Parts: sequence; C-alpha cells; structure tokens
Amino acid sequence: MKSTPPFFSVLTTVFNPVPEHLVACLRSVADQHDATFEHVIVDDASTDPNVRALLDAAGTQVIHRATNGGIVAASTDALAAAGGEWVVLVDHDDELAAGALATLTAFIAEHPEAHVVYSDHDIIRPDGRLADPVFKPDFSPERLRQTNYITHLVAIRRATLVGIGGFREGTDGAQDHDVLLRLIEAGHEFAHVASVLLHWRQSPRSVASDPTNKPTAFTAGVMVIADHLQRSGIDATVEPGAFAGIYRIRRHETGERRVSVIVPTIGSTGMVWAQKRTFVIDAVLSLAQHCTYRRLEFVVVAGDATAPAVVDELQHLCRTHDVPLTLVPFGEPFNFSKAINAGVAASTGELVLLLNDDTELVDPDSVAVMAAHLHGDVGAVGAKLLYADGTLQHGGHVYHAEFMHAFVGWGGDHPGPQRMLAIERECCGVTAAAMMTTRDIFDAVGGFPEDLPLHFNDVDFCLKVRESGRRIIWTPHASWFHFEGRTRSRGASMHEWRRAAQHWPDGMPHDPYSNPNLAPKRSDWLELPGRSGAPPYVIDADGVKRWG
Amino acid sequence: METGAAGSVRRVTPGDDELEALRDEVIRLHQAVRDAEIETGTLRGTIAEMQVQLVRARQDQEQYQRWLTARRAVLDRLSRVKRRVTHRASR
Repeated sequence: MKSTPPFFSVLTTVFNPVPEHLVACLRSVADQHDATFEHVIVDDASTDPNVRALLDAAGTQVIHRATNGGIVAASTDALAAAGGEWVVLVDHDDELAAGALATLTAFIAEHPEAHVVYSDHDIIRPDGRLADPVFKPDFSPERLRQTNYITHLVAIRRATLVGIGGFREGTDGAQDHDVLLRLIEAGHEFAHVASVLLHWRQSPRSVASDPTNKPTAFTAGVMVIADHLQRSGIDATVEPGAFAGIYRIRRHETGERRVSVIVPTIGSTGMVWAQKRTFVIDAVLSLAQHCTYRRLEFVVVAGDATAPAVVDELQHLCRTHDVPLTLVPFGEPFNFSKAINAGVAASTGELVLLLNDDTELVDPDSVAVMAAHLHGDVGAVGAKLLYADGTLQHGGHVYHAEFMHAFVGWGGDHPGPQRMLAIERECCGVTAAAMMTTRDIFDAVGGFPEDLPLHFNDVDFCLKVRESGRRIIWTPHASWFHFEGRTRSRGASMHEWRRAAQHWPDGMPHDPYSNPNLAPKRSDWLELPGRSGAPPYVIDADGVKRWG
Repeated sequence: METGAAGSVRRVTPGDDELEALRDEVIRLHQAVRDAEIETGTLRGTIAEMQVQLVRARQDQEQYQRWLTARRAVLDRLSRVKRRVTHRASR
C-alpha cells in the first residue's frame, strides 16, 4: 500500500534579518516542488519596518508576536501553529536547496521508521557563492554530545517533538542542540540524507561565519549538555572545548576496574629521537611512570626472540613501580592476533588495553579517559596515535573503498574538518595499537581472528563488536606516540587479503561515519569532484545563477 | 693519558661537575633532536593538509573546465540552430 506523502510545516522564526536574506529564504521555501508543505513564520517583534512589510507581502501564514521573546518562545509559537506531520526548521536567513522537501519526501517514504531526519548542508558566502559543504556521518550520538554536528537541515515528526516537550525555555542559542539531545534520550530513530538540502547563510555576525560570534550560544551549549548528561545518568562534567563550537566532556571513572595492558613483543630495539630504545621497556615504563590510572597490570606476551635481559628489565621496572606483571611466553612465529588472545587469556582485569610495544604514553589520563567510556553499549575505545614527528598516525578507522586511518600525516593537534579530530566520536573501527575493550566483550566476540596474523585483525574485531550492537569510540583525549613500522614490515600479504575477503564475503563493510559525497580511498575528507562547494557560478541577490 | 714521574700511566677523566655537565648536555641534545623532529612534523602536517587543498583545487578546476566546455557546446549548438532558423526564415 502506498503511504501518504508527508506534510511538512517549515518553521521560521524572524527577528530583524537583512531584508534581502529574508526574501531569499522565503523564496527558497515557496519554490519547493513535489512536496506538500506550509510555511509557518513567527515574527518575534522585529523592529525593522521593512521586515514586517516583506512578511505581509509574502502571502504565507505569519504570526506577529507582540513582544520579543527570543528564539525559544518564537519557535514554541511556531510549533503550536504547525499543522504538518513533520516540522522542518529553517532560519530566517538560510535557504532551502532546490527540491529539498521533495528529497525529504522520498527519503521518508524509504525510512518510515525515522523520527528525525537530517541532511548535509553548505554555506552561502557573503558573495553569494555556495561553499564549504559539510558532509556528515550517519547518526553519531557521542559526536552530537560534543558538538551539534547536525545543525541544518533537520526535520522532526511534530508529534515526536511535541512529545518531548518541544523547545525548552532557557536554552536560547542552543535550543536545537537541546532538542536533538532530548530526542536521543527518548530513543528516537535518527536518519541521515547524504545530500545538501540547506544553504546556511554566512554573514559577518553569524555562527556560520565564525562560531565565536555568539558566545552566549556556547554557554547555553554547555548547560544543555550538562543537563543531558545528568538525565542520561552519565557521570561527567562538561566545559567549552579547545575550539569554538565543541565541548569537552570529562567522564568520571572510579578506577575500580582493573585494566590489563596486553603488550605483545619480541623485544625489538630501534632509534627514536636519536636514542636507542628497547621498545617494550619504554612502552611499559611510560605507563608505569606517568599513567594516572593506578589499577593496572601488565601482561607482556614475549616471543622467543625476546632477550632475557629485556625480560629482566621489565620485571625490575614493574617491581620498582609496584605494578603487577605477567609474562606469557610465546613460542610461535609472530602472530599478533594469537599473541593478543594469549595475553588476554592470561589477564585478570575487567578491562583490557591492547597496546603495541612501540608506543609511548603522551597524555597521562589516557587510560582513565578510555576506561570511562566503556559502559553501556560502548564496545571498544581507540586513541589518538602520533608518529615520532608528532604527525597523526591514527584518527580512527575509515572504511571507504579501502581500510584506512583517518587523516594520516596531518598535524597531531589539527582539529580536522568540522573539528572531528578534536572531539570524541563514533568510528567504524580503531587500531589495536592502542585499543581498550572489556574482557567480557572480547570473549563474547571470540577475540582476535588468528587467521589474520598481522593485518585487518583489528578491523575484523571492530566489525564483530559493531555487529553485536555496540558502538566504537575514538577519543583525542587519550594519546600515545606510535613508532609504527619500526618493529615489523608493513603491507598485507595476498594471503591476508584472501583471508580478509573470506571474513567479509559481502565486500567492503559500510562505514556509517564517512559520507558517500567523499572521495573513495581517501581518508582526508576530500570531496568527490564537483562537490567541494566551489561551483563556477555566483547566485546573485535576485537568486539568479551568474557564471564566471 | 699522561705518563707519571715513575713511568706509571694515569688516566685523566672528567670530574663530577664535568660529568654532570656532559650528562646535562646529552639530555639537552636529545631534547633538541626531539623538538626538531616535532617541528619537522608540524611542517609535514601543514604540507599534508595543503596537498589535500591542492587536489581539491585541481578537481574543481577540471570540473569547471568540463562545465564550461559542456556549456560552450550547448551555446554553439543553439547558435547553429538559431542561424539555421534565421536563414530559413529569410529565404
């Protein structure tokens, strides 16, 4: 049976916009086609007479508020007046893309379970050019906690929005973030249209231009996240992040759970920063000396090649720092997966931190930060890994026609596009060079695949974790140097590729945290040709495309 | 090495202070190597990001040229049709 197409109420609250921008906004809604909709406009007592005249001439439903009440009050009035099954939020200076509502109509027909639908968006620059498209991931709740990555365009079932109490007083400036967080709490299904359906106006005063333009919105953001954490029972505090528009959530970890650090090694040595080091010694020492999480045990899986002197030194340093050490002899040719499985089998902790021996702790709180995530439906946590020169080695996995580490080689402190390297977020996988999971989850998914001795084993493990319905989080607040490539040769063998193909007979697994508008086989968020937001035309004040 | 009065060999080694200073210098040098490598990494990171921007710009340029070529082809065809129609009308 064919379902009835959805009826949209486009809600726009207006307060003293630039008249030309308002005209463009109204026209972009009026020009929508192949969709049923109404445009509900609430004028929040604009003082600019031009605005009133424009609204009166618009020939659409306009509610004039007697006094200025702010965006929450105006949005509440708009919601009360809406008659559609879905409400679509459009700011007074933004523009719906041509056919946006038709696209939403078709998408909702294919995803009838969705209660919230959001799209990609781009920016209208002051010169009228459309630029900087924001190609978003599918629903990513941890990311949404740390930044409102959804922003525009959002369509919400009206009954759902009313059901959670609509817009909340006192959240002006972050009211949309607040609504989205409360929708998460209510367990509603979010769906993502991977198309640009809204053009966000960049004016000198707007957040689109500079996120620091509305500091009160940032303050309100801290408050709405704190409320969300409290309602969700997450023991954490929140503060403004290192960059505008992002927040730092500090989860509290009691430190009662023991963390078993599993370190496979063959006792390799090498030069780092012009100094010879025995990797496993320095990896263990850096944790024993600097880690703020004290309930640790080390399980070193020592291959036959490990020199007795290395073993002696490990025992000595663990005694010195009063950290338990278990040595697991490993008498087979090096097989990372087998070594990890043997190490975990010999461990006693509720949490296991899989750690390469060629690492050195950077952030002393790393273990605590990772452990604090491992509650509820989080199945594994990965860390930021840096090469010896401080460039990024691992920013989470990306599976986009190839298995990749995100943003390899970028500056280690670069925030990345949409600040994604500065926030904790869901990933399709994380590297086992520094990965934490729980012992229960490790056992439940069958541990590491021993037929994948060197490569793809973490990919396979992460896929199994996600198949079990759990999320995988990458955090920039846990970090290690990773002197990768110094202890074993790189590149997967044909045998491993064949084995990997057997593990995933349906081909490359889908990565919900990438975006189909991005170029395949690249992990740097390069857009597909023609989608970078640099069209060779300008849209002038009359909305006409002008070439050149 | 020096030869003493009685012909015995006396080793000349640094004193405690000199040893301390040498150790400090080694630490300083290691730190300098580390800082230099990190600084190189900062430049490498910038280059990596710029390479992406360069690829993006090249892609955009190629796309722009394709668009322009397609547009020119359409305009040329329109112009030919227009000429033909005008020519026929004038006969």
